[in-house]
Amino acid sequence: MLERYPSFSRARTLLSGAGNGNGRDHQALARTGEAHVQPVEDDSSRLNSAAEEIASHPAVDLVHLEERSARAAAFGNWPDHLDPRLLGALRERGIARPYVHQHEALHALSEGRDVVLATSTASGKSLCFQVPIVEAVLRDPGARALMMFPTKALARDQVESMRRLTEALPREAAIGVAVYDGDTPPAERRAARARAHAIATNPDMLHRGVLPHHEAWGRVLAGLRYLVLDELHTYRGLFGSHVGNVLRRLWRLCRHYGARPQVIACSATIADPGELAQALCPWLRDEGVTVLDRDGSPAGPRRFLVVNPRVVDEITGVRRDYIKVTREVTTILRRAGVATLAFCRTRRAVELLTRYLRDDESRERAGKGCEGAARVAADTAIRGYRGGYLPDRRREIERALREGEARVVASTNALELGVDIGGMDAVVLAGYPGTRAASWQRVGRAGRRGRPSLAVLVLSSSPLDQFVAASPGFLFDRTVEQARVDPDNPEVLLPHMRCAAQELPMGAEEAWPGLTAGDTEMALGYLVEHGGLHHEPGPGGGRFVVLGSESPAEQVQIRGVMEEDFSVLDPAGEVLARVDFEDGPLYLHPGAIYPIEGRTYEVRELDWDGRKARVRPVRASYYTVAVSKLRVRVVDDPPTEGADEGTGTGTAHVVRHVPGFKKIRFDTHENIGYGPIALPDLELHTTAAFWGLPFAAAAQLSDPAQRAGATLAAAHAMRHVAALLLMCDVGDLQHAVTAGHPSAWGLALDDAMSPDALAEIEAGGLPHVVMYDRNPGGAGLAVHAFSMGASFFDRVIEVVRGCGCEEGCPTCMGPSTEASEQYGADRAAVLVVLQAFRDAAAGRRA
Amino acid sequence: MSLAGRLAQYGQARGSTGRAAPVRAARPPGAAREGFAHAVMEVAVARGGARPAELAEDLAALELPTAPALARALATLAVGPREGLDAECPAVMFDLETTGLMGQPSTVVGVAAAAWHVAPDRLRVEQWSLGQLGAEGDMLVHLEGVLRSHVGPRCALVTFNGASFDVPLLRRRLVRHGIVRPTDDPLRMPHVDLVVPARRLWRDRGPDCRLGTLERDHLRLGRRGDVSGAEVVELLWRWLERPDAESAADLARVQRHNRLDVISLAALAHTMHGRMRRPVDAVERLRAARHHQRLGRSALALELLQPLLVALARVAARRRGSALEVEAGMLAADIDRRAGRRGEAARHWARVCRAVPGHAEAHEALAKHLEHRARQPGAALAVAGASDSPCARRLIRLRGKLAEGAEIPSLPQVIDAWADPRV
Repeated sequence: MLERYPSFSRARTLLSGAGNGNGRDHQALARTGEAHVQPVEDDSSRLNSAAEEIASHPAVDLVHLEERSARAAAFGNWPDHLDPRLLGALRERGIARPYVHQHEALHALSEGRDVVLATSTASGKSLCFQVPIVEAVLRDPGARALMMFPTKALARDQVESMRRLTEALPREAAIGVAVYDGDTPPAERRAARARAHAIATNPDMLHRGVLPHHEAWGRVLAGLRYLVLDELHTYRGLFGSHVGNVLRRLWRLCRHYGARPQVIACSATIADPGELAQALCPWLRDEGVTVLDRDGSPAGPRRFLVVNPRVVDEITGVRRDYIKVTREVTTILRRAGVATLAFCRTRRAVELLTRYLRDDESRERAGKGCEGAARVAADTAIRGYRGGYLPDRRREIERALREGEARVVASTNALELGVDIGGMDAVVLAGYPGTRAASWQRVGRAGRRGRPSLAVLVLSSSPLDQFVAASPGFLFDRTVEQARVDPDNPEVLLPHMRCAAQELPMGAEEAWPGLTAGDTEMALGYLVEHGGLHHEPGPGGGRFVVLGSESPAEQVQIRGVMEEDFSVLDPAGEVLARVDFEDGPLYLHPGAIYPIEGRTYEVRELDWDGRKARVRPVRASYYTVAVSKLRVRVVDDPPTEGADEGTGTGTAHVVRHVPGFKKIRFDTHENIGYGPIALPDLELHTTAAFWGLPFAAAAQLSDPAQRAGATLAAAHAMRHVAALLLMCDVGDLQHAVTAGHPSAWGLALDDAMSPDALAEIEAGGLPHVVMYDRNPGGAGLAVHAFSMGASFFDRVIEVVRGCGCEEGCPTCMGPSTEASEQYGADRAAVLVVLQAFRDAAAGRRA
Repeated sequence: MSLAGRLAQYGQARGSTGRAAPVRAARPPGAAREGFAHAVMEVAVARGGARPAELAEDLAALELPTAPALARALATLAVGPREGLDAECPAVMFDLETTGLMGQPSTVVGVAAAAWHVAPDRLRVEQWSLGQLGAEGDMLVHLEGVLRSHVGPRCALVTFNGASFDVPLLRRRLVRHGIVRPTDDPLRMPHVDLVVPARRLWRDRGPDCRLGTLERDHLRLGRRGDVSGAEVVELLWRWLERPDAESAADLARVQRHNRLDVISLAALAHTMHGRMRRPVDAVERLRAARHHQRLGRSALALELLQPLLVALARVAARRRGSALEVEAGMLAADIDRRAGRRGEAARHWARVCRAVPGHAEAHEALAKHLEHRARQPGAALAVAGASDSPCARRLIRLRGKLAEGAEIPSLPQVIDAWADPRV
């Protein structure tokens, strides 16, 4: 059901991704207030011919083509009474007039309103907080601003950007901009607190380093005029709920010191940025928040190609490997001299792609001359980028991109956030990123001011990708996903209330931001009952305090428990990269081939306790992929009355075991061997809910394979709907299917399924769906879903029924790789499972 | 779902999975306690005088200064106002007990005391004790008010290590409660921190320079059943959590410790004053002299150094003098040189050179004097060359200054000539 050359639809306003160099492009055109955008002729023709070549490449089928014509810049005016020194500095930076969205933001702020900017990447959002901050400080040297960024790297980047503006001010109007994070040395910390006017930090630092010591920050909090929240959309799910509470504590302290800062939030394109801002900052609910999403920055014409690798074997339906196809697509762009950013879904893909592209490039150059020089040139022009690289290396790659030294970069989502890399001309997505929001965010990285840009999505063979191939409207027609957050979740709320009580004793009549006074009292009463708080009687109901020398803030992890990362060390003992603790067994087992920007190293030794992996450089003809197996065991809570045997909630013990690894040859990707791994298992203790398939349904689905597949698909749907209803991120929950009651240790099926589990389930065990919280210790999510009973399943059934596709689509079926293809689940079977669960739940209530 | 419902479910989930309850177990509520307590007592200065029963035993051996005596003592120990401290109320002694170190978010002021003279022979001691953690702000308002109403240009705040601890911590807590604005600093008052002279006098002369140690070693303050710093923290937390008689006894121990600390500050000042004027041994003598010189009282410093200088003068050639005498000589030379009495300075250096042949600093200083002031390059060369670590440039320069064929005088001659000049 593939379309080959579908109709070319034009001028879709939904394709709002084309940002531009945010003023730092070394080839930037100065803004002179011209209404037209002049596309550069040879750029356009280069891109067009590259696009043509890609579309007609023999290895792919063109599924869809979107085009959007250029958008001229729409300008506004500076607010009246803007300090002339600031105007002068802006002019010196090449900014003569603001774009409309900047104009609207500045005017809204000068009227005392709070603002959420939801324009695209690199549309000049930073200006919307830099200008008001500078203006406020010029008028009142005691004015302060706190800027919160989700990562340290972003904070430092933004501080550099703001300093470029403040340095253009005359000397007597000096404005201090500082970073305050875990890496800031003590002397700089003191200076930041005492003298800086604008301070950039992150939620973790705010939670642990600033708020508990608020009297040391008295000057800043008392003078706080603006609270900047950048990349607002990253504060969702469980992490976002924590951040929401940190912000509530901050607001409470601001009020204590007599300040009422205005909020300036910047968000990527999500469905309801205003709502997210109000969920995180409940004090905005009364007055409302001004959402600005009309982008006035100029955009060149953009083309978006969706391509599907061709089927190579008619009988099995197998398609060409999408990484190889991405390689070819990117090569076309590279040869055309187009600056390209290739986003990959996994680190392995980044490494493979970097290596392949460099091989291609150096081979071509070597053909014209010296091989050694060709290799060096290839290594400079083509870079790989991912989170595990050390900060120095990442800064270096960012710089190389900005200055045009690097022409092609393969990256994970690490480059999705707004770190300044100049502008690219093309973005290639190796595989569908999983959400529309992420897709637009990445595509938005392409397009320099006024110049044409190209985006190419290369679909993989996973069901979700193939679904996009079948219905591209899925990508273009629907609005982007919501960012959901739930700061009132008691798991999150209560620990933060304790932190707040230590910051300032809580009065009995106090209302926690976002809650009524009555609800606050109830929560406080709960804490007292369980020993978290102490009530001291007195007038007005008394006070709630924290006794003891322990620090409540130390006991709250806002990003989930952090285990220490592994360091990758070369033979000389230098640290080459870092790997998250959870991924250690997968990537750093002895015998693993660990690549950095395509260069391969073999892991000789892994020091588990010391968190060190020792590697040496090798010329490998293969790479390694670890195999992992999942086991789940749930220890029941005492059963409630009338409960069925096979359902309930409890503590889950989840174990991920990595028995061995496969060796895969480069280029051909054939499996050439296997090796054993003997490393500690990864364990997770958390809370879970489980549902066993009732006998009646099992009887109806007599084929064990179909039964297993349908249950897995049902579990997937349940998880996604639970995330929707619980206002958390899909990633905050996990689902698995066990053969039989999960109280016994059972192999579990999840999206990365294993053949043994399949065998067990097929042997006739009754499948049980287990849903558990990703967060160690649990976060009340799965348990809450269970407590919703039949109404939860009603919603799931609604979603699966009404999802609009004929057979069952990945949204309701689950993007598993080999799994659901092998099981061949279909919607009808899934509905049988869900209906059975629903009836059982209704029966329980009755 | 409403918050009530969610809390119920949260409680169920937590309880049933057997996870430990957070932090400490809930305590049964006791009798309502007042926010903070404020006690006043008066203590006679004289040893046999009227003293409150609970303190009498501890203070039995303690000699407290009268108001004028305290004023004199503080004048010795620190630079005061030009017109001197008020002879009737020269100082307010002050000390805090807290539940932790400065900078820890959980640190609160548990007990605080201040003492000052209300009559030449009588001290008034006021003490604040926290009853409810949430009342710390109220307590500190009261405390800060009392301090400010007594401390002034002629009435100093006296603490032990208060410059690093008590004063900044008090200020931080005042800011934290919103009593004082972050930009204000109301505690900027004349302050004598006794740890400074104490370290000068007694550094490395005992196990440490903590107040308790000094009280024991130099004030003969016998305290039985006293509490240590770490114990104070634990006792205060217990008191704040539990409202029973046992914890009240805990608090009483902390209160007693705090009161004694504050009163003993006066005695400590007085004792240190005595030592600075009449040191008990040679080491103290030297250190006291240094102290006086730091405060700009060079005449007094020299006066104190006299016995050591006399001993230094008597040291015959090539017999090593004691290190103390040598140090005294160098110090006296420094004082004299700064005052312009160069001949005197040279005498001291020469004597050191005689007592400790090769003493680098003395040789260099004397050589410099001979070269530039006395203009005797030959003598200078003799002295410079005899140093343990001669300065090469000086030697070359001096050789250059000497006339052709001039004789270099012998070192002992030069030394003797300058060590004992015949007028």
